[in-house]
Amino acid sequence: MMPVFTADIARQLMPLFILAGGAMVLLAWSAVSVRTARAQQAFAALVHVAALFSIVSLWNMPTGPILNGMLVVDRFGLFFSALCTICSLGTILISAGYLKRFGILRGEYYSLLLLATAGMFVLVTAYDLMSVFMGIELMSLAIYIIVGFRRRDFLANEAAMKYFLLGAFAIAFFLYGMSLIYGLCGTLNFKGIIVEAVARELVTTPPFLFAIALILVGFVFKVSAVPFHMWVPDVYQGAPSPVTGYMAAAVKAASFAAFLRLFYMSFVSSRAHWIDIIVVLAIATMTVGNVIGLVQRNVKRMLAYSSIAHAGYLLVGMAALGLDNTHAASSIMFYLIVYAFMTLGAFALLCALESRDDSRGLELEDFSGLGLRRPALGFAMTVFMLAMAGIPPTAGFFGKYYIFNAAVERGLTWLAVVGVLNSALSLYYYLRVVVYMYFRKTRVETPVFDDWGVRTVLIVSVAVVLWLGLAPGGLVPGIETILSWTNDSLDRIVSLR
Amino acid sequence: MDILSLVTFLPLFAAVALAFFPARATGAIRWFALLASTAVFAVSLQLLGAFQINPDLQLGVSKPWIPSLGISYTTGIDGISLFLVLLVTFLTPITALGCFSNIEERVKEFFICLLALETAMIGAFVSLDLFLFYIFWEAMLIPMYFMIGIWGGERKIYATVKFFIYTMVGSLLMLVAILYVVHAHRAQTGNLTFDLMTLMGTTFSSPEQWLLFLAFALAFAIKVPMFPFHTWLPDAHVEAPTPGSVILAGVLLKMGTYGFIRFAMPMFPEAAIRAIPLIAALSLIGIIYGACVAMVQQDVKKLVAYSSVSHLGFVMLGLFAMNTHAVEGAILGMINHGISTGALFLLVGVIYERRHTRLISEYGGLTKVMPVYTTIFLIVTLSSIGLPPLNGFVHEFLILLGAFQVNAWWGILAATGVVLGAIYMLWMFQRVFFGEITNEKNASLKDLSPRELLVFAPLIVMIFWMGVYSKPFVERMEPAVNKFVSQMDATRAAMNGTTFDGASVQLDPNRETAPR
Repeated sequence: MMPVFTADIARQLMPLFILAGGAMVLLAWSAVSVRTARAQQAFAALVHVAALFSIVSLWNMPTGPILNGMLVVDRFGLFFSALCTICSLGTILISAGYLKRFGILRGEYYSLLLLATAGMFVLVTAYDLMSVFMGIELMSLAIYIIVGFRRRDFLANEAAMKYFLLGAFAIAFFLYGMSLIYGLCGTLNFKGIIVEAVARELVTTPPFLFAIALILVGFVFKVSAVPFHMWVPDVYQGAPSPVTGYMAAAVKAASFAAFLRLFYMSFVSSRAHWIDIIVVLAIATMTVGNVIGLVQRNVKRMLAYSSIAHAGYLLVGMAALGLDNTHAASSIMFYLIVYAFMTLGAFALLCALESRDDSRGLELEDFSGLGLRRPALGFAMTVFMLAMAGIPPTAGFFGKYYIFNAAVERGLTWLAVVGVLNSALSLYYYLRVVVYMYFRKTRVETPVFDDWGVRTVLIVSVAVVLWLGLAPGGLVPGIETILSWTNDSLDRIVSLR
Repeated sequence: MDILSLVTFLPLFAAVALAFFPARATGAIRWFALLASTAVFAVSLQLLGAFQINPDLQLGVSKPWIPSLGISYTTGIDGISLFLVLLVTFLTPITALGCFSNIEERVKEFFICLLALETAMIGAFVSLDLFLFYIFWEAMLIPMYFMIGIWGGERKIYATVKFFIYTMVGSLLMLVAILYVVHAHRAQTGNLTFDLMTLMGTTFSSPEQWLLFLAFALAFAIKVPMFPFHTWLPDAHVEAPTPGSVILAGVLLKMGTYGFIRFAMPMFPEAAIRAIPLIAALSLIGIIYGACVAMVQQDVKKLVAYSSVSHLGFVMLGLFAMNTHAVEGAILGMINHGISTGALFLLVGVIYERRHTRLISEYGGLTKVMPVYTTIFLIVTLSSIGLPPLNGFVHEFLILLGAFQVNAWWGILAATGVVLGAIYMLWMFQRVFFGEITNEKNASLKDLSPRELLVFAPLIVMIFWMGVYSKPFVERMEPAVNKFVSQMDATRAAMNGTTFDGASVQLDPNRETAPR
């Protein structure tokens, strides 16, 4: 028996300790003092920076599974936990002004954000279905609460309730799948599952496939794909805007990370059986998201459907997963980075525009004339919209290109065609924001509250979205650099498989 | 930085510099944009000097860009793209000068768009890497989208969104086709690359080639625009501000025809040859339909827009006639159309700026108050309808000559288009300029200002030069054209050979056994 806990393991888990410890400190702090929210915010940001440093410092450490194969702090996990931590940090920066305006500036908010990010760390480094479950729950429970953080608001309550009930329901499917896997394989370890499934010749048997399907339900819910997408618009609309941005960027990334690792590693031998399901889900998700997105006038709901549509593009990448190439998995990773930054940027702008009296959220009309009144903000939003629509020279284009590239490489050319037609469809509603910002006369002048936090996030997001659209790399990591990171991360997974 | 990259990115640098100007300093912004674009033109003239008369793609560079995906920054020009690049650099300063007075709002943003657009257009003409080309090709849409959307007319939003989405649908299918080609090439050679010259060596089965050709052709046909994909064009032109129309008609449409001759046809020659009847039919319909619709327009700008559909039909017919005369005519036609239609839109802009209407019925007898304007308009009109010794004659003659060699009916139908062209242009000219001044508002119209004269002077010079002495142009493009034509001829010969041989090989056993 290996020693369960050593200094080395402690070092690997340092980001988790920092995040979770920070959350606990903040929780205790908020319990004794309610007037120090600004200091608590600064503390939360510092905790994130510390966590980020410890994540980066682990990058070159050779690692295997730890804690009896519950977690593996490998490059794949570090890649995603860094992404989630950055998203969380960005969320803190855009939250300050928003929370104050809505009168919900409380330390608990930051504590919950930290807890959710800690949950994401567990989720993306999970090497066992049990840790996936724990990660999802830790992440989700915290988020259920902050979704309803505007607790006197009707829509926020509806959102939190809906998300909680449906989330609990979906995770039950996941658990049922897990129990079947345990029954069949006698283990929940990622590597154990594939070893046992092959040894016991389970790979193509109905119970095993049924278990995969049930687990798929859980993930499809979390990544907000059709047919488990009904909660998305309501929850996105009801949640405080910074939280919505956080959910779209980080929750999607973390869920896709676990989804990808599990399916790329444990279930890859059964690929022939689940690929068709994923293809159908991808087509349905892209199409439903984009078609319904066309008629939205509420910007948050529009971004919700856009988020569904993006889950569809990512599922195209999942469908292209295979034993022999890493392009598909790498394209999903790249896309998630890009998506995180463009979403966070867009939501930063939304936060700056929202003020107390419109609890239903922003309508397209609220953007009218923004580009002419505030050229810099208009430019930023244009960049995000074009990136979401996948237009060069933004990173959104490269991300989409890379996913479709993987699909065509695997012979799924027709799926790529469906994908690009969907992109063309989505163009209409993304461009509509630009139309309102620049081409229409201003009727209502929505007040803009862009504090330094919002500005920082906007500048960083615009820079990343433009830089990753064209630059191969150099002093600052570019496309080529990120591809080498993703490929490194995936090589480890493949070697563990 | 090599000269081609310098020409490509200089406008972008200028656009970035412009962003730091205070928005109120409109005079400084205008002059800076004019100087910058003129400087780009001056630099681009060096291309002419450095260009060697041979069929090779030259003056370019090839640098790895995203090597792990086979993407490189590969550029180069031959006799075909040389003049298109020069057309861009020539038209941009003219457009910049031309819109000194009619762009009053958001001057800074406008010139940033114009200069960014110039970079994207030049980039698309010089790219020899499919990925790079695609980036420039799509990037062109953004500045044009804003140009129409911000400075456009009443229905600008409809027009600009239609323009964007229409173009995008075609382009995205082309993107998938590009990916397919790249992966097919990798499967055949193990080499992942987006380099056009390398990818030309890829072999495809006939149905594959046909589908790929269609995907490319759709993207380019929408841009040309070929009948029946032309409906975005009148909307975009009518709503676009004058400079937008000039660039749109002058350069952007050529992007489509250039795409055919650079990408779609040489990459899939077999499919291109098989598509001849289809494309020729659509081109001929476009020529005649465009001319007929132009004839009944009330709005001068819309008339010119539909005349573009007709003229571009000529160019497409020339390309698909696939002989030296016709293809040379087609390329000259692209440049000539850029000059004369650009000039026409600028001319329409002049009266629009004075009267804020473009309806033919609002005018009449303008020759009495605006004699200089009338003269210039007449020259451009005559150039547009192909009267010798003006430039339009040269390419129409060459295209008709080439078309007759292929199929007499093509020549006859296309010649009808020339006649119709003369009818609608001259009829419009007569209604606008001759007769008595029926509308009092026209009685006090001012003739061209010195600045406006300066705008038209270079265009008029080019109209005469290319009409009288087109040798310097033709001799530079000829080697590249011959290379293209001989590739097409070789493919045709091979196709005839293989279809007959293949048929005989496959059918021989049956033939021998079945009848006996």
